[in-house]
Amino acid sequence: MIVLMASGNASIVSWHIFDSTRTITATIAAELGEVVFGSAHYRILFLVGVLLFAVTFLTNMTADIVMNRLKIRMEGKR
Amino acid sequence: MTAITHTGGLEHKKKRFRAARIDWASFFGTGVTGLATILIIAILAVILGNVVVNGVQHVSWRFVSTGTATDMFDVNKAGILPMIFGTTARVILMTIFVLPMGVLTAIYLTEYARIHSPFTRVIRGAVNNLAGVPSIVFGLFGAGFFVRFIGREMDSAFYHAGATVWGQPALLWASATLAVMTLPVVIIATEESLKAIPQGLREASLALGATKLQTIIKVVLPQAVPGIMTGAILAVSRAAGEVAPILFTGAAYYMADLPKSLHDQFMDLGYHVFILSTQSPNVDKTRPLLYATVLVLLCLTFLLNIVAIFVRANMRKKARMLH
Repeated sequence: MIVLMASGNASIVSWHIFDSTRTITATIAAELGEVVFGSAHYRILFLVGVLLFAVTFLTNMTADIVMNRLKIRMEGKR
Repeated sequence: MTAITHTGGLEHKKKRFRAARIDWASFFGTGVTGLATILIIAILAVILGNVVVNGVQHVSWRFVSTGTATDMFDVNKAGILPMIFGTTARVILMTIFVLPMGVLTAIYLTEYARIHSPFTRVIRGAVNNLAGVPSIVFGLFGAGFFVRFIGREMDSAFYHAGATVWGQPALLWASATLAVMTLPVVIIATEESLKAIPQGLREASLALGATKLQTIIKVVLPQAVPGIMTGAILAVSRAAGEVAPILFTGAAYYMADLPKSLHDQFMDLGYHVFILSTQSPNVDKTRPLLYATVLVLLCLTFLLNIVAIFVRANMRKKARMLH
């Protein structure tokens, strides 16, 4: 919600940091309210959500594994 | 830090000065870390100060005790009682859903499951991952699973064909979605408090002939209550400010009346702030209203927190009397 309000919400691709952009979160938040249930648009929004979930899941998993290894190294092998 | 304390002669002073000079690294370390800390406090102070200074003059009894009838973007006519009611209702419902689930899971993880089995590791990883999922994904999940799947199934099972009672965004589904979102917070807090209870206490109870279940209910759980309440407090403060999960599972743009049952939609303070800031036809006219609404939201979150902290203090007192 923060990015939806602060990012400018413009669906353009730009590398310039002062341009408005649009995030996955903002896209879902802005569009899901208006789509027809079961339509292609609706399914695409869920796909985008799954992508976002996959990215965060992988990041979390990696962090979890790294933390575990560090813990084992610092506490000594059990 | 490097301040020179009062000294005797000049010679002495010089010596002191030279001694202090070596301490630059320490000075630098204290300075940088202290500055970062002060910066964080300053950011909080600026945010709170900005909201309070701009908002407090527009908060009146009428503002918090009436609904909006004519113009929800006009500070002189708008009221936010329905939003206060909606936010409070969804947070309380969410607490009712999340506490039993989270506490039971934590009890299983600490009391019953073997600590290093792969199964437990997977569950723990899942809980940790659940905590890191973006809130909009929970919103999607709630809309797809609770509203569309469970809601529609309930409609076709209990009502005549074509009726839509539960298969629409509703207070119940918003609370359920928030409960799923705050589940890891409660699980982790409860687990920590269960782990902190000395093993000897459990063994003593078992040695006296109590069963495992009796031990957990009569000995372990009363000790863990303050930790569980801490989890509930964290869950409440996280849930009260979240808008994304309830966007498609229950929050309404405008409703004339307060929600009457669990399958009604509701108006929410956080969502209302979002609406005010993005949908207003006259930005300058809405800004005072926006500040006032944000101030009320902050106060409501603090209030819910304070209530939970009081409950925790009370429980703690009771738990201490057990000793």
